[in-house]
Amino acid sequence: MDVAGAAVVREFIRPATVGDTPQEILDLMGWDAELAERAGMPTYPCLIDREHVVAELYGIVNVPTAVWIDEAGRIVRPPEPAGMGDGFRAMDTTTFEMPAEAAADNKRRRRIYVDALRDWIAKGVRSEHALAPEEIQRRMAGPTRREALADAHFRVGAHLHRRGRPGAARPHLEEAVRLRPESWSFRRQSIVLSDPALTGQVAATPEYWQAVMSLGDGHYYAPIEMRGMPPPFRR
Amino acid sequence: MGETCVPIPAGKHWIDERAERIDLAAFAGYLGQPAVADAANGVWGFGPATSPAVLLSAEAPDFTLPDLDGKMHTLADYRGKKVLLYSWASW
Repeated sequence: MDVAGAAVVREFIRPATVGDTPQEILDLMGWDAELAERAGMPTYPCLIDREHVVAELYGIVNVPTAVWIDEAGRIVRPPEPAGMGDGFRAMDTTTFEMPAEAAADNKRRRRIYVDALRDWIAKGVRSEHALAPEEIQRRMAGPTRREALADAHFRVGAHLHRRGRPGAARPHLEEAVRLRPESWSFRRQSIVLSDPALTGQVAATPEYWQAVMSLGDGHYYAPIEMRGMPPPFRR
Repeated sequence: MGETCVPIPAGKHWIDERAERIDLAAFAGYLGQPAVADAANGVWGFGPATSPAVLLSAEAPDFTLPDLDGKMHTLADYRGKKVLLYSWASW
């Protein structure tokens, strides 16, 4: 991540009251005043992962993605969208305004996810949301050969880019996206590497929205297998 | 990605002991990792193994990364606490 990227993260984690946040952002994040009031101060470490190490280790393909890890270092929930759904795809791409039903769906998902997280924190292994190792193994199938090959191309592309050879990096980054189109991490990182001025701006580019719209009936965020979570949002 | 110690079985055809060379593509195949070779730019890249250890134990893969001030943090140092590993990005 470059300096500008770090500044974006600092801005994101800065404690802020709901009143300081535009309604469009609240709708997008599924956040509301009550959830904000229950939030604690951000005392957690914020780590910089320039080379997508965690994404590769855990098979993370989009953000925000979360993993729950218990006191013994075991995964109790695999990588999954942290309460996010596809309601954002109904937003106006110029004003970022969302239809009421899409905003409500986002808030509902976020609320269910946060409540489940709090339940696990309070109950530990007795929480219904803490999954057994067998279920973790079922949900974390590991990369297929195609996905692992995409990771290798992405690694080579990122390396060449860091060495100041963007022209040589581009074919590898494009091949990574082609082999693993479900990885919005590859797609968005590749756009930024091609044009660093787009850092923090990718989600407002026509290229990005064209890719989102081309999903058709496909998912942007994978459905969350969690009790009470509604089926995927459809317009 | 750090270092990994791998026992090399004897008699593998991808080891040229006389020339002290290893066929990297075959070696990657032995590890279950795909390899990408960019000869024009002199770069090789390995992908992850297609059968990661997490499938056997559900143990969270360890990593060490810097925070915004450059201080290093290792996941294993948080044993004894619940961890919410939450990924975000600056795109």
